[in-house]
Amino acid sequence: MKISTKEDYIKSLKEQGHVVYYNGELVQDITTHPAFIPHINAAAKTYEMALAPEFEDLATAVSHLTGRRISRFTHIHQSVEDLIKKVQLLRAIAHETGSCFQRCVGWDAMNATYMTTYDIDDKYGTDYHSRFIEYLKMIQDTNKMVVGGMTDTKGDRSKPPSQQADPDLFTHVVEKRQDGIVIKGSKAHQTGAANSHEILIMPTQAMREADKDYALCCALPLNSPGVIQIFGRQTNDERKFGGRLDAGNPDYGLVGGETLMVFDNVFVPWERVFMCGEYDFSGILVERFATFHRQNYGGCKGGVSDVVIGATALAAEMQGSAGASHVKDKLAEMMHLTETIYAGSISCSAMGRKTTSGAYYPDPLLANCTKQNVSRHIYEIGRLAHDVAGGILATMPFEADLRNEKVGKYVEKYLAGVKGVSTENRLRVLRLIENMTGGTALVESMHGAGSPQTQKVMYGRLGKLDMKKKMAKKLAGITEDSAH
Amino acid sequence: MRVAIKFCGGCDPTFDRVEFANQVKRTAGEHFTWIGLDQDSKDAVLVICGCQRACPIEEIQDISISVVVTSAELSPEIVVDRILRKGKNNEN
Repeated sequence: MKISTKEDYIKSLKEQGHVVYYNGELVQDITTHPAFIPHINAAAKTYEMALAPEFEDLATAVSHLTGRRISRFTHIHQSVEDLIKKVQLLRAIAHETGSCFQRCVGWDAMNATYMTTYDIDDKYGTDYHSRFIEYLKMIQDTNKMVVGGMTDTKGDRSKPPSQQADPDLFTHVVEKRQDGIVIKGSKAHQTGAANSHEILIMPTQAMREADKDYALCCALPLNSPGVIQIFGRQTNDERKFGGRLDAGNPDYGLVGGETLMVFDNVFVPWERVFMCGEYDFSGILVERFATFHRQNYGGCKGGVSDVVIGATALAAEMQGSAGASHVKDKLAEMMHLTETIYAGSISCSAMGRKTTSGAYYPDPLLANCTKQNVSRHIYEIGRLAHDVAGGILATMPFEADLRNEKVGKYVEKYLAGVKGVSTENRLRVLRLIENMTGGTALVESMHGAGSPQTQKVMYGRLGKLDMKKKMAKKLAGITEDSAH
Repeated sequence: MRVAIKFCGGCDPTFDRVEFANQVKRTAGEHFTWIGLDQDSKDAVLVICGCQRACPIEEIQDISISVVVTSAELSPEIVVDRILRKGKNNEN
């Protein structure tokens, strides 16, 4: 069955029967559980926008494999224009959701795997690429949601996978059979996984020969026996269970909804295995996935920041401070930071190149620079939003107090802003700012797509420091044969 | 007149494209029959782009019968008038 509409998507999740735990309990139906509904709505927006004439130019593409029109979230980039459209699409969807819509992770995993399986086959004569193409066709035709499984829990960070006290702290192959492999381990921080259909597992870091059982790339349905998901707590997550006002963004939540995913001796047939022991391609696949994923962040976070700026401007208007020069300056600064991160995403896309597989790949140095800026600028945008919104952001009463027969009138009276603006609307805007700039939302900007230090490592590799020194020497009049 | 609407992808529009399209539809009243972009025998195409970059222009096949809007500064009345003129030119 092809998933086209939001209704199709929800039905598919309802019928899937995958194992998800929330707060110590097995969830019988995530589609009716308040903790999951906002994240399902956000992911569903990717299906809805593909059907909307005003978004279809970005939200759909033509498959290079079948010639059929498909969701862009299942597309392999065929040009620089495709790379740019990816970023534009992410910004457009973020305007609609104000939160993470989760499908970019699997999209990036598919693009990175497409390129890398081609290269593995080229070196070793394997048939991973043709296997992956068959898998990709299935995903394009069914429009299933794929989560990209990269981050292992890693245990002792000073030790490689094969030297960990517990061998399962990195996902690995425990048995090779005639019909497939059996894997064990886990993946952490799995954005959108609770409401996805498939996972595309990749290695988490570069591997050496001793770690070749951990050099693994494969795909499996999330209802496979032995797959268990445990949903992560978020800031203010209990507000999902109450009224709508306190939640801030009640329909779409905040960030993507992450799980710890456990693979307890899970069987994967060979046709879904795309790397198994080729440890020399492990780091390459990680780097490619990271580049694709870091490319995104000026798009989606740019779009989310547009909403934060709008909410901050509204808050200022509602409390009569919009005319103050410092408020105007702070809003301008927020726009500057937003367009800076967006410019980064567009630039790494514009400087993208064709790979040997035929797929297009963003400039990795510029993509890393984009994500590094996001890890800083989103905090600054949030700080400025807090500054403009004022202390009320942290001290507002409950929605229940506003509705209360005895004290509601006091909340209404004393938290009023300018004449003509309802107190309730003022509180709604402030709660939206709180939702989008607090705890979990900020940490996601810091560590999603790799922690800041991982981008610094890439500067060391890609930053052309020797060339920079050469430029300096030339201008300083130091000849090449001079001693340091 | 048979008129189709083509939207840009809407990455960061400067105005509400759907609202603008609805204003044009209301202004046009019964002068136009709105049809899908994939339907044949169009008299005109209204291309609504969220900014001056106007991304769809390079791909659009019916550019000679298209009226391209890149901001909400044009009134819906003027847009309807331009569509009418495109349609008449097309008939000639």
